[in-house]
Amino acid sequence: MKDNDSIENRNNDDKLYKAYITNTKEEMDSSFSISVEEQRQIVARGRTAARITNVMISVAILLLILPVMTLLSYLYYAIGGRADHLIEVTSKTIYVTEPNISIEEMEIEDDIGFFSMNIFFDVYKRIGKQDYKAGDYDIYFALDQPAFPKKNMVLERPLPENPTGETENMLHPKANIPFSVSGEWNMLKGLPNGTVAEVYLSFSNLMDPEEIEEFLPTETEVQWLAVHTGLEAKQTDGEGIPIAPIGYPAQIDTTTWSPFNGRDQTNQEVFMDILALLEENEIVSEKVARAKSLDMTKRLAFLKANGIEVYGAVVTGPTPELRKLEQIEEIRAMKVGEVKLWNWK
Amino acid sequence: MELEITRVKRKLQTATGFVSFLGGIMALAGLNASMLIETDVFPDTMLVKLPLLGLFLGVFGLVTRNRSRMYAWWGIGLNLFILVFTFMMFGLSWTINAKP
Repeated sequence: MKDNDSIENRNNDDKLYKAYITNTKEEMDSSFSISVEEQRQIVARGRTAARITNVMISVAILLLILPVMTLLSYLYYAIGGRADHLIEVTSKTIYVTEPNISIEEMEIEDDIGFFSMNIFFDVYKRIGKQDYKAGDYDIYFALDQPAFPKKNMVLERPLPENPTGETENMLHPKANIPFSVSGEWNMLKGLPNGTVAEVYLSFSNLMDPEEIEEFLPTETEVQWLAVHTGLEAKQTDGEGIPIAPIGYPAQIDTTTWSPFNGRDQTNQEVFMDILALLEENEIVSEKVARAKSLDMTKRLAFLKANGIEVYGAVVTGPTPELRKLEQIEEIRAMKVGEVKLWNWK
Repeated sequence: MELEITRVKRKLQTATGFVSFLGGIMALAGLNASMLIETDVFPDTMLVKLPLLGLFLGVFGLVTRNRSRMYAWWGIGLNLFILVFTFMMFGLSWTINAKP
């Protein structure tokens, strides 16, 4: 009996529902006042509006890529002074690894791209009493990783890009001299008297930096001192990779921004500070320096234990004065560097 | 159903919002162009005047009651971004490799 009741109830519900639906449909048909054509127009208008919105948003997003990336790149290099730090390591590496080369810190240019940076600067050599442009550097950094510098040197006798013992100009007393010393003296003798020149000297013994001035002719000027760091006799690091001299400028550079401006620290102290900086940033400094191994940890430890002794120097002055160096017994070898017209006084 | 259709009509974007968004896109395109051709000095019109105008129009576009404000928000966003970008780039360029 119960089953019959429930079937009847359901049939009633169905009827009610159908009636309601039919009623609603009729109401809709009567009240729906928009024609099919109008509906089509509305859809078309909506589609066009949606298309324009899509295009505009897509274009906006595409156009945002470049500025956002650029902004992020600038933020990367600005936060914590990353770019300045890379520039500092680069310039200081050059001071201590390139004999008689200086940089105008104020003229270092930077160009920041997509998460990369190029720095450009000129390097100078002091020959006689004047600084001459020795070339320019262009160094690319991908984030903080440097590539090998693109150098454009304008020197008559540039130093080799891949230094080895055979190409060295300044040599430790225990290292073999790979060039003809008499040939170099003859070259100096063949130069006109009205010129100034730069020569690389190698000494017979290790000596204190102050001792050098005592035996050099007065009309000459020491520009750069090659420092004994324990590796120069062998001319390779612990793994057999060739090394190049490291040293520091002998004269005080009065340019305000030069690290060797002699205000608070002597050049020797600045040199030791720079080596400590390069030790912390060896990846950058080894890319910038010509020698592909600096082995700074070992060299710095040696210098701290033994103090600064020099085995070579870059000296500049009038050619006739430089010829007098041949008579000095402390000088074991000499190699001529750059020569320029008279500018001594 | 009548109500539905009216709502569709009201959903159309505001004219000021649209102009603001369009102005933002144009300023952004100018910014991209000047960055790609690597001119050091970005044109002032693209970087300050146009975004300022766009920002003003965008804010104006927000005031409307019944229409959609999406374009206005985009316009404000883009124009504000360009202004912030310009300001920050000047600031950051000064910080990096600063020279007195």
